Amino acid sequence: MKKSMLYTGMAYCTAGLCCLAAAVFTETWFDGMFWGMFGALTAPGLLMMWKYFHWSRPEHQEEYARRLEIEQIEMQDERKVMLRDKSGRIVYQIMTGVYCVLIMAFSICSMGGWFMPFSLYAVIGLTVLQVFQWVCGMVAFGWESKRR
Amino acid sequence: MKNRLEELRKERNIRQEELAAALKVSRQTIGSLENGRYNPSIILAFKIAGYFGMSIEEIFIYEEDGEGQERTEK
Repeated sequence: MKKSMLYTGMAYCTAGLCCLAAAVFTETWFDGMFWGMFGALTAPGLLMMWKYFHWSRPEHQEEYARRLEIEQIEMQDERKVMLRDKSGRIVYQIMTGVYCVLIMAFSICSMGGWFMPFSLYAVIGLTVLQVFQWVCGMVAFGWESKRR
Repeated sequence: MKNRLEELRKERNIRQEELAAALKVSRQTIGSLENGRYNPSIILAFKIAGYFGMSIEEIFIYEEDGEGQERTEK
């Protein structure tokens, strides 16, 4: 296994410990975030380091090479690439529909004066998200069209 | 698109896993190719033909749909 996995794991753990120190030795209104970041960074960091030491052992080399080969085939297999692309498009269409329904629902709430001002912010936020998604889709399509 | 992939594979006593490993694709892709649910890219079609030592046309059977045949006849 590449040493970059070990170094990345160590960096994650270091960042996590920094967040722990900030959470313990300071008193701010976002202490909760520091505690959360400590867990979110340290756990994967420790896992990465464990994976490095586990798969670097001589007795695991053959199994690791086999798993790496399978992983590469799964990543490059053309049918699976096609399925991932199609799945992405389906999810894009579903989320577009979900955004439209939510915008309508929160607009009605906003007009009725219910859950204000949350419903108003939700309408604005969801509309911005919907437009951003649409623009990203257009840009990605144009970029891919030029490439191929 | 119909193909003779399963027939050729069984003739040579090759398992789907072995064929998949040789072509560097997943076993599920071989399965989908054999039952006609998936059509390979031109590159994969060449690799399959090369593996069996045959031409693409001998393995994959392209049939015009009814509309195409009518246009040709006219």
